[in-house]
Amino acid sequence: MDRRTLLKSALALGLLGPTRLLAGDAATGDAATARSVEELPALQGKLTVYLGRGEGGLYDTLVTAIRKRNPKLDLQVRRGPSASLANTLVAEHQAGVQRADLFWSIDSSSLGLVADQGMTHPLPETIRARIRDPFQYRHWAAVSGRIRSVPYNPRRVSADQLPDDIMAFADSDLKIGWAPAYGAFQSFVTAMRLLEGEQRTRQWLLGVKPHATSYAGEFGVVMAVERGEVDVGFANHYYTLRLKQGMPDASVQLAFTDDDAGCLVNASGVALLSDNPAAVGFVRYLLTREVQEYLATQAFELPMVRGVAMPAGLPPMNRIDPPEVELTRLADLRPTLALMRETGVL
Amino acid sequence: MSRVDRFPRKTLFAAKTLFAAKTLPAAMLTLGLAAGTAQASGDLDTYAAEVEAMTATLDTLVTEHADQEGVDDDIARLKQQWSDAEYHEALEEHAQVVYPLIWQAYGGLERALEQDASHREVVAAADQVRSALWQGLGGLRVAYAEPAESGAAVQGDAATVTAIQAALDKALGEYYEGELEEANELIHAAYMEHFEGLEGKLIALDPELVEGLEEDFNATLPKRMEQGNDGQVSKLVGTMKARLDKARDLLAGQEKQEVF
Repeated sequence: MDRRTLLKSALALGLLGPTRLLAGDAATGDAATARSVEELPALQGKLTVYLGRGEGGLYDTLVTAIRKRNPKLDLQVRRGPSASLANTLVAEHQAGVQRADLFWSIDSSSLGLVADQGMTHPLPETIRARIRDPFQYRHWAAVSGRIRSVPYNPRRVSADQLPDDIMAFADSDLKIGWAPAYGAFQSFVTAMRLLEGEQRTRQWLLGVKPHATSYAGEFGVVMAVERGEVDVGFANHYYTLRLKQGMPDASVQLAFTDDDAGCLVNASGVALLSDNPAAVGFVRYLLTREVQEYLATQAFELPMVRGVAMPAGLPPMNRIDPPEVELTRLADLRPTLALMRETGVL
Repeated sequence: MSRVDRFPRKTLFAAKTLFAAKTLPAAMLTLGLAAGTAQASGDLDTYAAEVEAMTATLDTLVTEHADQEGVDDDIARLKQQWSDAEYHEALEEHAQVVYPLIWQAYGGLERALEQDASHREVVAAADQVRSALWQGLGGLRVAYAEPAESGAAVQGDAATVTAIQAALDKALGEYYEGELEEANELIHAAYMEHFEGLEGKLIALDPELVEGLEEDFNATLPKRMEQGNDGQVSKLVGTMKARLDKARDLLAGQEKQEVF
């Protein structure tokens, strides 16, 4: 496609230092960028947070830090898998019970499930305005994100040889690594199904399959690319960045397709479930410059607040063109799994 | 005086928070019993008995209405039961959203009787009361189940590794019992809910270790369990636990980055 442009060799890992989320920064001015925690009032009173696991250790560290900074806050945290907590919240709601003030989830589809039940309170405009477009949702605040990427081995293939359209990989002669049983991959195929339709997705799966090697997980895909077992892979961006952190000379670089499921950005986020002032205050803490920088530097997550540096090794967000997909629809995995089974991919 | 005010009650509750759900899924009625405290379970038994008594009164009322007998005594008994019930107080405190639904249902029944509605309409109104009462009980069961984790119980990396190893042992036990599905669920949960929280730090320290464990959790161990070779399964679990020991040692040497 002519309009597509691939972020190729210029994005080679290590060549780019920390970059800025440029979109919106200049246009909106200081009022809409990240606040420092020093500017926030102390939180107090009782607050119950349902915390969906995923980046478990990291989120625990954030909870501990917020607790330490707010000794008068009686913070109760209930942990569990995001989908399971979402179901619990819906059950509690149907039973007329309100226990949680906040739902903080690694998984946007779980947030969508809760929002669809009418359980969420709208976010204050002052909070939404700080979040990067197009992630300014009414019923939940995006906290951090991850992007689908194409890790490739520069010793086996040059950036110029890579398609900038995810659908074109099916017609290429590249040796591809993928992890069909992995949840992130299935969400990616779901996005493709929503964007391109079932028939084109079926053709894509059938087209890629003959020159694809399956791995148990997406870190395995990145390692296979690095070893040269395959030319390219499909994986979330952070595996490659983490590997490069420990092995700066690793033979793997990142490329991104343009405006398709291949560069889908998915987000973790938090939804307000009550009008407890401490709940809004807690969300403000998650969106501070300090927390956003912590997520970007420690987990290589994409910071969702304007003006916070991107993880080293990623291009600025205004140079990535993710597709517009209603993230909460990514939970609809059943037709995706059926398609993957039908084509023998699973 | 509004219709609902004609029933005795301890507190008037604003009905503005009424929500749409009118019926409770059957599963909800059993939710939370196992997880509640002993005290809460005892209370729930009391509440269930009180709800049973009120629904029995409703049954009598419906039967007598069908026989065209007077039902004033039944209504009076129902009022008294509702007024005296510990269940009533518990609802006010713990299930405030569902509480007004019961008032609303009572109002509907009283209105039907006052307006000499057909027997079918009276039955429907009584069913609404019955449904709301059970819904309230389900709400209390949910409210008493699994209290939120409190305080500073944050798991460190070493404890997380230990929890993963314990889950592997438990999965092995399930496998020996022939419970393959349970074993796979434990393995999957250990990976998704615990190991993924550590792998970010570990990748930079020892990528091959992470790659090996990712494959063990997601492919090799489930496959070996399916093949049913006990010796190979237990050997692999031992290998994984040794790899996790190594992970614990690697993580122990890591400097902690402060957030604020």
